[in-house]
Amino acid sequence: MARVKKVFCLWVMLGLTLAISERPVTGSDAFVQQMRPLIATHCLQCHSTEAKEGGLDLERFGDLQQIRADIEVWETALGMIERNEMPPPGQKQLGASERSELLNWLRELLDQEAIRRSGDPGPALVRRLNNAEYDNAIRDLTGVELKPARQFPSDGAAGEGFLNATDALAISADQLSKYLDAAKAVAKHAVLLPDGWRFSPSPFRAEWSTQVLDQIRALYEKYTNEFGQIPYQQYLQVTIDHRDAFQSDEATIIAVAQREKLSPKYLKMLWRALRDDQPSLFLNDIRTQWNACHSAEDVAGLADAIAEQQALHWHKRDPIGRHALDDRYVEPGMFLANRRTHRLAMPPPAPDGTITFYLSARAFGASREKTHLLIRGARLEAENAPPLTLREVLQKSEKPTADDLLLDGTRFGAHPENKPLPENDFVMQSQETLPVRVTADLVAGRTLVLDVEVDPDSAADTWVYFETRLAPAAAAVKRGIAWTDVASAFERPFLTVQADDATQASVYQAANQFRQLFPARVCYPGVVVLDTVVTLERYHRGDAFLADLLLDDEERAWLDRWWEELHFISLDTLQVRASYNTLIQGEMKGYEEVTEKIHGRATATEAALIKSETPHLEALLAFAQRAYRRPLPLQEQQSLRSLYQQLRDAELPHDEALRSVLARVLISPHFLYRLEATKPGKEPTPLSDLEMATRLSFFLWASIPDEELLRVAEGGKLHDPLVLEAQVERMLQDARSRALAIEFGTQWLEVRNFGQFQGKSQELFPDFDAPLRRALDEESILMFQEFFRADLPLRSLLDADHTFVNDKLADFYQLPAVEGAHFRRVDAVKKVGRGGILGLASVLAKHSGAARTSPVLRGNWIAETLLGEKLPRPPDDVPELSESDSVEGLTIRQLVEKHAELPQCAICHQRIDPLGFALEEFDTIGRQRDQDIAGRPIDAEAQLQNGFRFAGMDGLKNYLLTERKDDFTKQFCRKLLGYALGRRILLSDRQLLQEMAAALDHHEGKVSAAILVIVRSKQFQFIRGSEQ
Amino acid sequence: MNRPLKEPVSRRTILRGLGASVALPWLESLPTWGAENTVTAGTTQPPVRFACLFSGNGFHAGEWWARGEGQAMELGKVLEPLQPFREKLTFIDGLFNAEAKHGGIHSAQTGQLLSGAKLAPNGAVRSGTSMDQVMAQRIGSQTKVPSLVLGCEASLPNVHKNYSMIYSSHISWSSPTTPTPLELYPALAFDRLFRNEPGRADQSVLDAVLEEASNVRSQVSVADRHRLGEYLASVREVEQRIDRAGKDQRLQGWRPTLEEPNAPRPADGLPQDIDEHMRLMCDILVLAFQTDTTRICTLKLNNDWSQLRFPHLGVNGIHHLVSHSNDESWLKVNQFFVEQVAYIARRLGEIQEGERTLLDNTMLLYLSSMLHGGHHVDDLPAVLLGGGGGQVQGGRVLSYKGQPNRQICRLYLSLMDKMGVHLDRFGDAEESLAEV
Repeated sequence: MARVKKVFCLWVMLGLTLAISERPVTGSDAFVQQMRPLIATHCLQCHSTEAKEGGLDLERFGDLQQIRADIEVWETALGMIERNEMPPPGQKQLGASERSELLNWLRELLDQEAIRRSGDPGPALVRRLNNAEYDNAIRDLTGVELKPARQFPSDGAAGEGFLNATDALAISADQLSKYLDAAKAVAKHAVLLPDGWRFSPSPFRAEWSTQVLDQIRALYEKYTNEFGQIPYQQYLQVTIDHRDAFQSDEATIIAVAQREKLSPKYLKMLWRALRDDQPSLFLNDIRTQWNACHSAEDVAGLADAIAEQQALHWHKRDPIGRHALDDRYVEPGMFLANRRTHRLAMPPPAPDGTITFYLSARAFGASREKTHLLIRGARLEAENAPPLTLREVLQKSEKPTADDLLLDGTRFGAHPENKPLPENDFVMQSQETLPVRVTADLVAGRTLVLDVEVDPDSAADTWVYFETRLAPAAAAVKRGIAWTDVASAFERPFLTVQADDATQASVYQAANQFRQLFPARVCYPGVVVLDTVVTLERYHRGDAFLADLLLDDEERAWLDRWWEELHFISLDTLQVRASYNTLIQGEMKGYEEVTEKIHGRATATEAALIKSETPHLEALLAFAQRAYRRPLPLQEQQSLRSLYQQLRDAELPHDEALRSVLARVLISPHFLYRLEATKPGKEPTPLSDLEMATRLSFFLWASIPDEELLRVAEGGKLHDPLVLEAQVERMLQDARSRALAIEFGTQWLEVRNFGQFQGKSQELFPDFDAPLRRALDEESILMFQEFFRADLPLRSLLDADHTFVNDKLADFYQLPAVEGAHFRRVDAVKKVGRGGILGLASVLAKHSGAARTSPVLRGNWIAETLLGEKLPRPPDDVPELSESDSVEGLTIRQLVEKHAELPQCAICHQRIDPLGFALEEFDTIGRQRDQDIAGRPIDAEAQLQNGFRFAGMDGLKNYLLTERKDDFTKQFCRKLLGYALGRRILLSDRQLLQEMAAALDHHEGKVSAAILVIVRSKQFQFIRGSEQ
Repeated sequence: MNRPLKEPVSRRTILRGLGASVALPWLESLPTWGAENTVTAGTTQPPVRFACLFSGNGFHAGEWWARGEGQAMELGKVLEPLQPFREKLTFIDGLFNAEAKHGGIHSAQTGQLLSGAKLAPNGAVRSGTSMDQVMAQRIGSQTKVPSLVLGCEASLPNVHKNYSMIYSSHISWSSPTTPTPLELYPALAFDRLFRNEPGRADQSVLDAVLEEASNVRSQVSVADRHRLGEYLASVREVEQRIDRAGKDQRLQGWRPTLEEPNAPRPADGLPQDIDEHMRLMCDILVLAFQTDTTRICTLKLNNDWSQLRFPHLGVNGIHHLVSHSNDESWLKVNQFFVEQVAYIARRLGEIQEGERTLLDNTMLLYLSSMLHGGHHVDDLPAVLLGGGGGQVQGGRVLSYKGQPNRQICRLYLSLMDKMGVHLDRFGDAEESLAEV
């Protein structure tokens, strides 16, 4: 044994290939002695060095060595002889024994050559990304679907018929110019951020701001209503509903809040505040009411009471320049004063010539029942006339009737406790709304002015809210009040008496407790400020209460980040500064603080912009690394940085320079091409792990590797068969394997991009519209996607009993109705003629005429595309074949049969037509039918040249799965390998194809078996030497 | 042109040098501008323009013919739309491409139409530089855009009968391995002609990748160098385009009748209807010639093995299948295509350039890849319209049937000659057609 082994090793050293190729059967002698004369007799008449018919010179082959050097010629020759195309009719034919002798010799020769060359990686693979790969790569780089390749020249197919074949991927200046345009366009989608960038579907800054705004608003909406208010009623209701549970275990609050989509933080705070027994002036009543709450109605009442108090505690602020100063939208509305002057401009009169207004007082505090308000010196002032007292006006006005309860002259000068009171003063009760009616003519254009004061004799713990208004009831107490209903700016609604400092401080503190628990607004939901000139702000951030009371730490961090981004993206602070500077000319007294704030913010933005330049360049390098599918050597980093610097030196702003360098990355050959380094020598060498990662991702995803695959490759693990297998499995499961379904699957069947298919008469088939075509496209894609992801057996491509439909497609296929436009798998579809490749209406429709079926096209497609048959070139001047559905009363089938009777046509048509006849059960848009347009019954019987008979789609499927199983498998393997390698199949791939078929056989046809054979093959993992 | 970016000339020059050293057959002829320019230099004569229109699948077998001369010329029904132009029309039959008789049908009969080259089978892509692109490479620098290659049907994405359908979809080839991409979008074709807005950083960006690609090129295999060479050459040409943008390349003495487009930019996207699409492309061709933005244009109205349909003609079928029927529908479809040719001729005829019309200064060649739908390539249909600046006499029928040396490349030698591109041989021809 040992001896044998040694000899064997010696053979290996000498070159096994040499040993095989020198076997005598097909040796040079056999060729020179037997084949060459045969070829001379039958071929050289046309294919001599001189005649060179069809560019073919067979005379130049003097020995076997020369034949081996140009083996493809003989591969082609074998096919021509096998198909009886050569020698051509009219020329001297080969005798039967000569023919078989020649064929055997050629087959043997090619078999040996196939073995000798086996594993050749094939021509090296510098190839441009095709349009789909370009779009997918841009998607994976940017995270957004930009599809810039839409306007590129459309791709052509080469090799085994796929769009990724090197030969089809030429480049020209026109194409490059489009790449440049596309790269610049993509670069415009980069949204520069303080610490890096991201990509937006939009190239417009305004829309980037909007996207950030939407995020901010979405967070606001999560916890507040449209006015930026906390929905107190919901929170209160929860505290009532779960009172017992909360009481026994506070921890349950969080779970309940999450379930009810409330803020756990606020719910907890509210719960505790409501149960706190420390007295608090403005909370006491609320707690009492809460304790008495049982029904939903009670809760609503409590919410009303809170809202009513809020209106007193908060009011709208003077907006001018103020938004820049603090970040709250409403401000505390309660100010204590002993005496206040109120004004009310007289409105236009009512139809009866009168004007009615209301004086309203509401008191709070323990002694409120005993409190009086003194209304002093009520008068109507005019700009150019002396004032009139209200008393005079009322005296001159029409007298009210007794039941009106209107203010009349009798109240003036009269104190209820008979204290002295001036004649123009009067007293109001602590809880009184007093209507006043005057004759309009007397007061036109005047303003009511009155000084209001709490009766100094009232108790010190009383506070009275007073307002003048034109409506009988206060609007502000309604729930869900609009902003404008809140007490207007400049109002200072609270009064007190004898307000020493200590009292005031305690009131303010109590008010503060109320306000901290029940802010009137917790955010400014619109964010965008309408009147930027007045507010000196473009975006108003008023969410301090939201952040403090409702958001958890993570949400607060996001919110801060989004705001930072918003200012960074919109550059609003710079704009505000600019408009502020034009508004405030020079130094303006009283605005120093505002100026400082506005300028400070703008300066901060400018600093952030400068600071961001470094992270932007870092992001650019990281981007280039992903785009190039490998780490960036220092030199390349330098070159990108120096281009950036060069552009900056040429006075391009950072933004433009950065985007230009980004565009430069996207037209780099390292991005646009799949470059693999060849090593010197004549022998193939293994690819690096990173190069293999790229091959793998372009095979399975038609795109660049993701970070995980790059990481595995960088770790040097990808050549490990188990790691490779795990990655393949992961990648097939990933959504990106959809590209394999499209670029390999639908392209193989020639139905890629079926949504755009325009080949049907709209007049005859109005239902065959764009949505249906898109649905058919999707069905075809999903069939392959499922095939790869679920690792289905190859035969399922023909005999699957499932397909994928949406509502429209289920209807078209007359399957049980499904709801909705989304796609789902449905089973038991064979009985309605669906499932598998042949059941796809996309396939049936594509290989038909515009108005009629075409058994010829369908049959030819099955023979060539599914079975890999090579049909001879049709004769010159093929006879006519009508394109209409019915000619001279003949069915399509009869028409085709008549055409095929012509001897020059029969050779092919006898082979292909029967396959197409079996599919006559389906009309030109792929619907099942039992009669043609003219109402004649369908004849789907087929008989092949060899006498084999079958009928209809089922018969055809059965034929393909039994009689032609090997041909179908072989063709599938050939196409899959051709796609994976991006080139045509060579003689040297023959063994690999056999291995694929064998692997499928061993694994119940599961497609992963074939894929794994490919990715482990030398063809896939090696590259030819540079001198090979 | 406004070029704000200053950079060391030496580096630019070196990079240019790198680009130029790329040995591609179609580039070798590029830098020799000027030699041919002498044809029109210093004259005040309007230049001669050349357009080639193509439609696939041939024509109605019985209705593609012409008889008689000048006014008395009779035309087959397919050519009826050209009636008004009989005196400016040369009907040529009997020419053929030997290479189209080998290999498969359709694609293998189309990819070499304008070059006579042999087409590589087995899913490879190799033809020959087409005559329009040979001219573009030699005299294209005389105008802002060297040549315009337009199409109205997207490239067919298959390999059919062992030949890539790229052959069916392209008659213009910038090099034997580079089919010239067809511009399908009218708006982008318009931009190609009239847009003048290179980005401020474009030159620097292109220089940077040029340098990079030159480095890469030295690291790949010999075979791959070709592909990268193609890339380098493309980058270099785009740089030149930017350089040229806005510069007036025209010679002294003659000015086009229109300096700026007098029509609006077409809408973005692909037109829905084929008649609208073709009409827009025809208009762009006319505009390109009238403004002298280019003098060489190929307009491929459809592919061979075309999948176009013509509902607006009341024809239901797909172009390719209808071509096999040879019936009334097919005739209608043929006439629709010929109407496009007639439309261009009419528009060119309405534009006066000095004493002649623009049509008189143009050679408008209309071809198909086969005579009729039965894949007949032994007798290619060809019609030449226009005067070629007084060099072509219309109203004639030239038949080469049954004669020796009837290579269609001879016709191309003649036409190139009239365009000022003088070649000793082209494709399989060594002698121009004396009669044209």
